[in-house]
Amino acid sequence: MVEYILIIISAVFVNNIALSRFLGICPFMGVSNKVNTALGMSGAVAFVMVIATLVTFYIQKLLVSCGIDFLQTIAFILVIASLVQMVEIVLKKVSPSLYQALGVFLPLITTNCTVLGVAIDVHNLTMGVSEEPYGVGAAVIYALSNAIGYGLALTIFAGLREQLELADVPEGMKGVPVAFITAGILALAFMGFAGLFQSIA
Amino acid sequence: MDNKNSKFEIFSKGLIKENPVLVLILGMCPTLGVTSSAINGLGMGLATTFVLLFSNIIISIIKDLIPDKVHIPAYIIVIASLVTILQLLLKGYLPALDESLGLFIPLIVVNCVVLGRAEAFACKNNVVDSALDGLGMGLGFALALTILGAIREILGVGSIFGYKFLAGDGIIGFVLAPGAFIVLGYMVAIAKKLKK
Amino acid sequence: MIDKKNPTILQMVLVLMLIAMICTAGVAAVFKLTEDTIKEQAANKEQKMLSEVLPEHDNDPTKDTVSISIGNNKSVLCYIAKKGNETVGYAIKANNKKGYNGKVEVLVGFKPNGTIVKTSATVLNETPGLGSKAAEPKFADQFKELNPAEKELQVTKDGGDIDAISAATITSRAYTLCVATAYNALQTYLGNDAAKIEANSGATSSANYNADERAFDSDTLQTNADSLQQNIDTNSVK
Repeated sequence: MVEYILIIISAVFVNNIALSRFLGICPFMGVSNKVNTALGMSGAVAFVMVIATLVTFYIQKLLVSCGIDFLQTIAFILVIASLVQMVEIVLKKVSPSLYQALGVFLPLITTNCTVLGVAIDVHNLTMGVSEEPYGVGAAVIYALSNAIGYGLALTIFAGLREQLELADVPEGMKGVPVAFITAGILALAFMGFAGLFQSIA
Repeated sequence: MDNKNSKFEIFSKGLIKENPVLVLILGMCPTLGVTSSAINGLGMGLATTFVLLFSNIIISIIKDLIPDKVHIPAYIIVIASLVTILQLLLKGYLPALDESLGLFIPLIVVNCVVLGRAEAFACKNNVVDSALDGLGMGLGFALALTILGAIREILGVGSIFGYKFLAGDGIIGFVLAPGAFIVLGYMVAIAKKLKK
Repeated sequence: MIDKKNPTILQMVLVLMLIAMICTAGVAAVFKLTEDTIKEQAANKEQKMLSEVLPEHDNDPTKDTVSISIGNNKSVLCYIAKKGNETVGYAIKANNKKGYNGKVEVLVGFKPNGTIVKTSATVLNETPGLGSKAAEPKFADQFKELNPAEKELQVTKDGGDIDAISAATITSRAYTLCVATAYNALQTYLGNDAAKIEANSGATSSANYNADERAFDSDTLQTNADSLQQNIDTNSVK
């Protein structure tokens, strides 16, 4: 139980996937103009990330047992790409309302490196939470908390950018540059969480 | 189209005019993630150039064989294979670089620059042009990453390419996450200004 | 030929399968070519690190290892360096997850009398510019030629003799704890339990620490038996 709590805190705050590990920055810049789109994107990422991590967890077991784990990258990205397609088709049939909310973001997720990053992560590092590689339960928790962390960063950032539209920004800094600098300051704020992990561990 | 000038144009546009990082704002993850030093930026840039060059060449060769409906999965397979080959070569011959770039090597697969060039250029042009485009874009990527890495290393540690020339500790914030965003923000602003 | 605009399902499947097969064959070929080099690199790296922290030796310590149980179902790996038939040093790889970003692993080289030759971080994911400085000589060289029996293996803040890296006390504690764990493991191996020193990170609460200690004690019997077994094992390795 403690292990799970540590995973959650580590992934959501301390090692935030967007602000401290720089994964998924392209959509982070792209869809963060409005809070609503940011929320939609976060939901879609969470959905795919958890399923992808679960599926690739067993794929990796299969690859290792066949002694061909050097094919990890190829296998994972193919699984993720087809998974995204499948989720899209299933969602369309099963829950049209959810598809309405998340549908437009789904195709973007294949090239969102958070999903592949987290899927590879669970087999390689444990962020110091446990000595052993993650089991399947911890892997799913890890995926979910990374998705939450990503959503948190994305939503806060979108809120800031909505406010930024009203601010008087110098001509040269308008648009992307000021967004980067805002993200930098937000990352600075997230660095404040760094001690948290230690005090709990 | 076939005179020397336009060939040079294809190669050079990636360096500055259509620089993938500073102008097109693509491939942000490795750009921010590995540039805590100039040498890491250069290493990542050259690794991406390798993938970009060969993916552009291969895709422009096989473009006529692939049905439109499945072209994305086909490209992803090609790119993922190239990345895995790169990963194996780095592990074997440059293990230090492999270690410092870590997760960002397999993540070249989802670098939008690579898939973007395959989609926008290599699937419409011949082999030579695609190779030039891949090389130009890759070197432009490497250039931006090296500059970003160098600025962060100078401000954050007071050294460049590992050679320390300033006494003292430097401003650590620039080596950490916030510095990456802030320096890149200013670089994009300057690139915007220069383009005008 | 293939109809690019309106392909049949069969055509699409065949094309994708063909591409996948060719690509995988290419990757597998490169894998076969680089397999030995990659293994060699890993072995080289380990050997290089070991020769850095060990006194001069003429055997291959990577082939002369024992695992020492340190309680709580954990064990550390000990490399034995020999010159001729005489043991000239031990290198012990110890880790804990009390670093700022989690796991810290340190390879500690000892002379047979327990004096530290040198330490070297093998896993250090600490903050660049702060905790990462634990790998630099200014911090790591404090352990050089230090005998843990004579000095206090704790950072000065906790009443020890190790100067912590400024603004990175947590990393310094974790690193120091690794060294202390390695030293205690060596004493276990040498059957010299009395020489053990306190190994806590300073940050853990006393209750926690006592629990650790008790676990340690109850394991002592077990570890003595283990080290006997290990002695036999190492002899048979020879």
